[in-house]
Amino acid sequence: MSKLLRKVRQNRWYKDEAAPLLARGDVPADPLGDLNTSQNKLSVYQVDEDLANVERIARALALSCHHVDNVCYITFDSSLLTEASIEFDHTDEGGTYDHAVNKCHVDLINLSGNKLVKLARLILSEGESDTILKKRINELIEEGINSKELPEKVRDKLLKS
Amino acid sequence: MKVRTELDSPVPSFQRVELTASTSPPQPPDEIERITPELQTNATASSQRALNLARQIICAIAFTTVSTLNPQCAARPLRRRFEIVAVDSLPAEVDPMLVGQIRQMFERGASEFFEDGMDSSFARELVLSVIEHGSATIDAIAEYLFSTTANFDVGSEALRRIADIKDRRSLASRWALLQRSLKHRSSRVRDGAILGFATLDDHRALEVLKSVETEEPIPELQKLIQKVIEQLGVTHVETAAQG
Repeated sequence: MSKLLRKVRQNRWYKDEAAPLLARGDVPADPLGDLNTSQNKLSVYQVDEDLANVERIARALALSCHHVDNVCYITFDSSLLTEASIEFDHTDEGGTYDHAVNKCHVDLINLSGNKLVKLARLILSEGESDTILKKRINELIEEGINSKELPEKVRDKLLKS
Repeated sequence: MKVRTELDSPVPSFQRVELTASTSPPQPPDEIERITPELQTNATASSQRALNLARQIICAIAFTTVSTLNPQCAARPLRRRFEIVAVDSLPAEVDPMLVGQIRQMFERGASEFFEDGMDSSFARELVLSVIEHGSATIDAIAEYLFSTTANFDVGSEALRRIADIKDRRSLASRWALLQRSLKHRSSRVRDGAILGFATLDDHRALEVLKSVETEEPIPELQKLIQKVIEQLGVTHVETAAQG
């Protein structure tokens, strides 16, 4: 694998604010809220090395929400999983409107509290966070509908945003 | 071109007449008469003259009253765009009862986990309050947000949401709160304010954002400001192209 992406709220992942706790070997608690697990699994998406498909993944994730909004995310190198002793599984495809994005879905499995905290610490140290603004997301959705990457029915969400 | 013009205060039904485009001053009575719907009547010639006279009197009264309600209306063309309010002109006194309600709303909001694109009880309650109380709610939010006990996570969510409300009455006060919040001590509140300006997508915020760009200490927020500046620059070009 190369890089992985997780949708978060960026203001919980500012490196400067986390730095004092990281220096003490600890992590801030708020970022953990963005790593909510189900059955000890955490959904992430595989990103191209050059981040070329980030916008496409962000667009698909935006359409999975109640309404189209900004999409904030963190990206991190998959080598961090080895460092945190975290296993992964490609079996389950994602459930977004974009089939190509669904194939990029990866589950981080058999997670424990300690592993999650370690992953958060590694992401805060070595990962990157960013935001794609709602206006750009709307443009991407329009492009996706026109290119048939997205079904016509998502236009409803576009109109509501 | 005829457009319906929004007035700040509700207009009694007898004043509901169509006015010309925002760039034109109020029309003379004969113009108004042309766009006033014809009444269905079997009146005789004399009663028709009386009806026309009555119609002109009503139009004259309507314009006098509109001018009294909004003196700018008579003095210069009607404006459809709001004036940007200076940050230091925020009202000093805010309804204490509303501040109490807002505080309770924010305290309830603290138990929610906010995600971009997801609805929340807090957001629904906030929007309803703005619709009901307009700028008074925004003033109460400002009072709470700059208090020592404010929850900044909820504050950030509030700023994102108030930018997305389609309510012209409170636009100037929402703008003023977003602008003031760009210099808030909490990075989360500043984040909400920056994203709020992105949502408003009004190129007049360009200078506002440029003025705080270099002062912003959090690198991620500085990058976010640059993104919003870039977006507003494109909006500016698009707006200019549309004339």
